[in-house]
Amino acid sequence: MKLKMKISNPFKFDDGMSRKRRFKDIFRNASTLIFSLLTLVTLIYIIVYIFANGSSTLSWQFITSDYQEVSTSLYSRSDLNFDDRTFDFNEDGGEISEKWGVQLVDGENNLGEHVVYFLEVADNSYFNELVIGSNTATETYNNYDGQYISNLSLRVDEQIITLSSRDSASDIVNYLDQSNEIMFMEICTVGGGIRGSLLTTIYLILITLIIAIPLGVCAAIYLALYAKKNKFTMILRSLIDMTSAIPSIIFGFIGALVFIPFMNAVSGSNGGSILSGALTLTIMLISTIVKTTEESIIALPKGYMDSSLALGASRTETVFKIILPNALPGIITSIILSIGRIIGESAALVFAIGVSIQDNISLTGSSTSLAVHIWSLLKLENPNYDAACAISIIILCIVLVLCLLTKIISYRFNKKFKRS
Amino acid sequence: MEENQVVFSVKNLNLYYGDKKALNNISLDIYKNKVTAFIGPSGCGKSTFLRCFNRMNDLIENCKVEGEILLNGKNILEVNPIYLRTKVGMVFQQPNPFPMSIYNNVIYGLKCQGIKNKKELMEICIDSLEKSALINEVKERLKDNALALSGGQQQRLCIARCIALSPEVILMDEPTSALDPIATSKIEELIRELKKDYTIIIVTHNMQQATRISDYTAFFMLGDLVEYNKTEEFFAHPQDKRSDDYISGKFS
Amino acid sequence: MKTLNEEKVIKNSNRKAMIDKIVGFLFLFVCIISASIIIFTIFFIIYEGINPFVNQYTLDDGTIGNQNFWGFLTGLSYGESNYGSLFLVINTLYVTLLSAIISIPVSILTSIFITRIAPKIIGEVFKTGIEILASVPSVIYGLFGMGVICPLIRDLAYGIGIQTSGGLSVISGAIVLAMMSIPTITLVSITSIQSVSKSFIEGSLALGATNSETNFKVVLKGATSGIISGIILGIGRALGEATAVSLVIGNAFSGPTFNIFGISSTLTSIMMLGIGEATGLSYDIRFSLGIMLMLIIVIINLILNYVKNKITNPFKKENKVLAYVKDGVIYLKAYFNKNKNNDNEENKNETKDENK
Repeated sequence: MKLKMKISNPFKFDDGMSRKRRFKDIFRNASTLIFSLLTLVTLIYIIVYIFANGSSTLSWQFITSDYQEVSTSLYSRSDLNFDDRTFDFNEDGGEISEKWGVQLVDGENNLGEHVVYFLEVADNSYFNELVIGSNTATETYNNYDGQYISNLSLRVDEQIITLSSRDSASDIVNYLDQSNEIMFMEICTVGGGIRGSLLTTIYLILITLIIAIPLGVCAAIYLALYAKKNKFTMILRSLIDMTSAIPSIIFGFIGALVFIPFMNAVSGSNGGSILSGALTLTIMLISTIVKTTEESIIALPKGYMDSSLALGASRTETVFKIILPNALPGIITSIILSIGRIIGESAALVFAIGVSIQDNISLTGSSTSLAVHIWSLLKLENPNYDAACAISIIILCIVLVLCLLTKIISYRFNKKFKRS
Repeated sequence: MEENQVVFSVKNLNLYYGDKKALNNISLDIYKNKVTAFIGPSGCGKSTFLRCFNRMNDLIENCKVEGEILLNGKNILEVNPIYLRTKVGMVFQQPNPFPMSIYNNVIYGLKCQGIKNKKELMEICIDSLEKSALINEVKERLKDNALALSGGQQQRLCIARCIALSPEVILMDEPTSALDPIATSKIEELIRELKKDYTIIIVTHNMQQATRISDYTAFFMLGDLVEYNKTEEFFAHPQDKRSDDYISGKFS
Repeated sequence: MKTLNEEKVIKNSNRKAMIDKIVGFLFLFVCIISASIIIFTIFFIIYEGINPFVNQYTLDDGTIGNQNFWGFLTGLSYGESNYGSLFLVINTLYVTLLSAIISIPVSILTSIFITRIAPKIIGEVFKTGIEILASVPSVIYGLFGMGVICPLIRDLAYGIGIQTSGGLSVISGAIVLAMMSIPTITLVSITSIQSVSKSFIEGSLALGATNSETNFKVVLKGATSGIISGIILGIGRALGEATAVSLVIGNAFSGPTFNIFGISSTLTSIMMLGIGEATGLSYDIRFSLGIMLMLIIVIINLILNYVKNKITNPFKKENKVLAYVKDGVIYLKAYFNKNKNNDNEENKNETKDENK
């Protein structure tokens, strides 16, 4: 029944149609094409924008590093003496201080600011003789990997030169070569990473699914197989339907009003936690899970229950041996949909977990999910678009994969039961 | 009729769907190792009546059964239905094997009874498939998915998994209506074979089928049992005017 | 062949019957819990939402007081002295209306293209694209709105001589909301268009209507009820959306704003303000706003459902007089709905007229 658009010869008028009618026709068809292209272009634009801005920030280090910066204060010992040692460097590039034996390089931190990194510190470098705390301390420091210089005070010819991470690597090396004493140096690990938020998201997914899937599946089984067709069932069903119409921010309120105080009382935590977030997501997702699972149970051939019972099986046996294994694609689909919503949920979690980005994750401590992490980055005085886009790439990729999975599963499910 | 042993004895059975009366005061006896056919126009209650014998009507809401159905002298309305259904098997209109292997389909009922001995299960499986005349076709592929079988084979598999529980009675609800003529004739042949070991009650809308396979025929109309007699006599000399009209095709 | 051990089967059956009962009750119990979530939610929101009007709070200036209920209902500004919600309600409705004006035509045309015009493969590609759009999280729409749409609006407004605050505006919010509701409306519309009976379409084509006339006059009419359901869902999503809107709308503290380039704020965007810092009355007042939000959602749902019933069964009332304008002439038609057949014939005549 699908007719192809006939735009091949729009100016031919001798086919019995008036000119006005033909133009109307073309106009209608063209408008549908234009608007659907507009929709598709929006999707492509979103993807291109996010990848263009985020791909430079997205790196393994970005994913695995901490959000908080850890800084260390270092001093050169008062009895530091320079001898005639030479230094070997394995890495190429950067600026080398032949006097101190360090190789520095310009770079950016995860917030997109210019910083000077340690590229390599030679094994016999004087930097390995710097001490922590004060210039009379004895504890030396030698772990400079992936750290950058945030503050540096040098004594050059009885003058004190103060440098920061904003200065270029060549400047810093220049001054280092002139100086004999590091009066104070603060080095920092690179912050702005998302390890904590990523872990929180994974925990949230696991705990929410562990609670929500059994509940949702049981309720779906009741509605699909056990419930009688009476008013009570109708009320149950419409209540569950209505749950999905409630905006997620309202569930966030419930998290803040009920689950956070509840978890505080049970586990002694203070404020939002992963558990309170997971409980909130659970009540948010149950209606979706019930609906998806119920649909897949109803889609099964009708005779399964009857013929299993006629073989002397009990209802429970039928449910667990016949119905659930065959409704598994539906259950998996509901799991996938839930994962997608947990990853993307922000409004509810802002209230139910909180917005503080943490690195040490515990089930009862405060932390935040990736989506809320993006929101926090955008709420900063200077919104950090690059990092937000980098996280969005991760979320978008997961969402794409999940979308594809649901398509494959529903295709195979339909194929299996169309034959019987 | 007297020489036969009675398996089921139905006495004054009434069945209601809500306020509607679907079966009206039915009494009849089912004889051992015979095929009894229920015929009648659609909506006459013959399937509903069949489902009383293994209490499948329990699953339907608002369905109320009054009267007595005695299985070997015991009222089945007072027996645990799960137990009853191991004694009274049922084959449905649509062949509906479970989407698992042929072997698992046959032993499903046994596994539900907690039999775990693999050797014993295999023995019963082969035996049931033999009795249902399916063994030659599936001998090599017991582990294959049952949905890959043809419609007729699927229906015989459903009979096999029913036999595996060694029931006394097998109920068949229009078992051939979804099948082609060749598959139908195979099933009919099988039914004639099976009546040596089992009592069979079959619902059919096909009068020729009833004459071909059944020993007794019961004719239902609008919830009433109109006539119940030996098949030859029923078709040769119907006692009731309604039976006569039905047989001669005045309505269907 | 071995037969089953009679006694064992009976014992088994009794045990199974008991397990059946227990498991059945368990399922029922879980189902009741799932269904009671909404009751529990509404109860807590209302319970806490009343607090700001009843409880005594220590206000910022050190005095003790609570929020005036009338002030809340009619207030046109949101601040320490009075947390008004009227302007927020108006803004919310206004932004949602604007977004619906954008999203409804786009969704309907897109769904017609996908189901009726495009070749099958292209249609599948478009549909997959829209499914992906539907699963993109709202915060990413917010990011896209801040990063792309706001600058675009800012430049556009600058081009016609209007200063905006960096593009944060009513129209940015409406566009972002429209982008989020388009996939929802489109997907539902596609399903309902696909379920329009083929005989309608063939009938229309056989009367000499062109393909596009069939699509717009017959298919759309047949799918109306489904499309309205999609619109209800889409508008529901737009009304309840919080994160994306709060990022692009500018968060004004007074209003209402009708200038599409001005900054504004909606119920949800105000709720997202000052999270983590707010305490006392300024935190609790959110729950009162939550009640307002749920009320709006319920009312809009009721209205749209009423419209849906009106459109799908327009002649339900007896003796209805219908007036319509065609080619500049006002036609009056009276339907005396004594029986259904009459009505159908009238309908058919009307369709024929249109197709001439």
